[in-house]
Amino acid sequence: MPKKIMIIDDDIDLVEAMRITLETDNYEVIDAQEGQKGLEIMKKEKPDLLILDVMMGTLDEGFHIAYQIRNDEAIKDIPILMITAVGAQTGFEFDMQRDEDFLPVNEFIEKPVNPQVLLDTVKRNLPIA
Amino acid sequence: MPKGTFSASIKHSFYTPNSLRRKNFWLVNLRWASSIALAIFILALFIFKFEEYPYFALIEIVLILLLFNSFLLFYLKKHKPKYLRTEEYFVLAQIIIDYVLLTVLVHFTGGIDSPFHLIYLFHIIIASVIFEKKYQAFIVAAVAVLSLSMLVFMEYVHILSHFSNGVKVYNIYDIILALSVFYVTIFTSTYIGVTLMTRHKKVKNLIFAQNEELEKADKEKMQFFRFVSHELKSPIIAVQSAINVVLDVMDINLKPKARDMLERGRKRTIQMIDILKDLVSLSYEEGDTRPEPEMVVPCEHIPEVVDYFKPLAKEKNIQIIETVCKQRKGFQLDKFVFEKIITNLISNAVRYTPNGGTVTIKTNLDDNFWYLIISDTGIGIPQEEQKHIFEEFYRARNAKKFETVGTGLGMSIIKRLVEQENGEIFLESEMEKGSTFTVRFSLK
Repeated sequence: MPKKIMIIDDDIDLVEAMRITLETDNYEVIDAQEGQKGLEIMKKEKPDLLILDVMMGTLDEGFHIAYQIRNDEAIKDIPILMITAVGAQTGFEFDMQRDEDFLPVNEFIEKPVNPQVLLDTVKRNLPIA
Repeated sequence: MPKGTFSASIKHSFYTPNSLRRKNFWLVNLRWASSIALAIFILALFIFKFEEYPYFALIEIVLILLLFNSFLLFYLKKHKPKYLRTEEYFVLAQIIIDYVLLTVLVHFTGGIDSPFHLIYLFHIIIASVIFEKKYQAFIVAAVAVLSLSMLVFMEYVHILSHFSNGVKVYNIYDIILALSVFYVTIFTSTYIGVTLMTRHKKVKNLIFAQNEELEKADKEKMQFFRFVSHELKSPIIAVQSAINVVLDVMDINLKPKARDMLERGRKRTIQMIDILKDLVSLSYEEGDTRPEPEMVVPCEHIPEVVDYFKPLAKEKNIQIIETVCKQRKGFQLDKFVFEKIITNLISNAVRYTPNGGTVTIKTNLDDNFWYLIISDTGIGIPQEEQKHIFEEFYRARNAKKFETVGTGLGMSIIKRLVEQENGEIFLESEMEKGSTFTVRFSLK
């Protein structure tokens, strides 16, 4: 059975680009354009991995979604890749080693996402099953 | 500007403890000068024997003045200024002690006839300049008036003897006239001093308030600027992602010409994103949230950056020579800023050096500075364009020819970052031979 990847991002063009990329590696892709709706779908569909955009409605909606996921028993173990342009936007460089305590995501990928980098990162973060 | 916003923004005192402390020192210096003037005056009186003055008493006054001033200086030097109130008390104490000594001086030089009673005016001026509230200057004026009146009264009723100095007629009408003129002079001077000072303070506060407004507007502008940059970045990122998918993911046979056009398009999106990133980092002005500079050992950060550029250098067959880094001790620098500076400099060196060239990274040290010297065997920068190279959006003509993609912001960002860390950057370059950028940071 193909692994199921969920994308939460309000830019449908980006979602489409990622979907096509991921489908070439035989992943099943589901998506949502908005955080709360994404959470609902996640609980129902139980994807194997989540790709989450950091900035949607607000500057940090992605972070709030990530916290909610980590605090929800049903979905708290799903790996999260956070897509971000934040590093360039705020001049605040994320440093995983330093920030993992308060940023509950597995890895950051900076926009624009190179297709090969996306595939590699997804593969690396999928739970071995 | 509406009055409400103006007065609302004056929430601070006109003086700070430190600036009032400087005024206190100023008074001490004035007192040295007046002590010397007084000593010379007494000497002149003594030599020319104008009148029979009680010279011993006068010399004692000078000595007490000098002693008091030394003590004051010692105390002010020893204790750091802390509170505005204490500094104000210091000024007041200085004025009152001056008035006591001045009154004694006036007594020994002829009471109401003494020319020294003009000196009471000095302190009125000082008080109206220094004190925050208007009434404080008037209190000083009242002290001056009271001191002289008391003295004259005591001399008149013979509690104190009157040193007449040859003035024969000494009657109540002369005294009243002299005192009245004195009162009017003192209070009018206080009024003028205080009024002028109030006006001055108002203007200064207005300038301060307007400055604050300007800074706020500037900050808002920068925020808007960053917001716009982000908004511009989103669509271009989507465009690039779409092109990426066609070129790298979809397994389709594109005609070479079509592939070439898409490649060109992709290259331009990369350029656009670079420009936007640079614009955002350029919009960060000083005073924004920045980490405190820490002790950074620069040698620990260079190898990391060099390693990062090795693959690119290898691709272009460029040799990166890294000499032994000097300075094992740390100095005050922002680590991220420092890394950004070397990253940008090495990146430029590699980009503008033709295949087969070399990029050399050297460091140097002298008593005051640490130097980072990055030289390449690149295309060089024409002499006449060197002075523009640090300007925003400037790209040298030969640079444009050599590398079509470039934002023209890199060097201006480097310069800004170097200056932000109180460093300096120098350039030496010769066409077709290469360029050397030297960055210098103070070790202190």
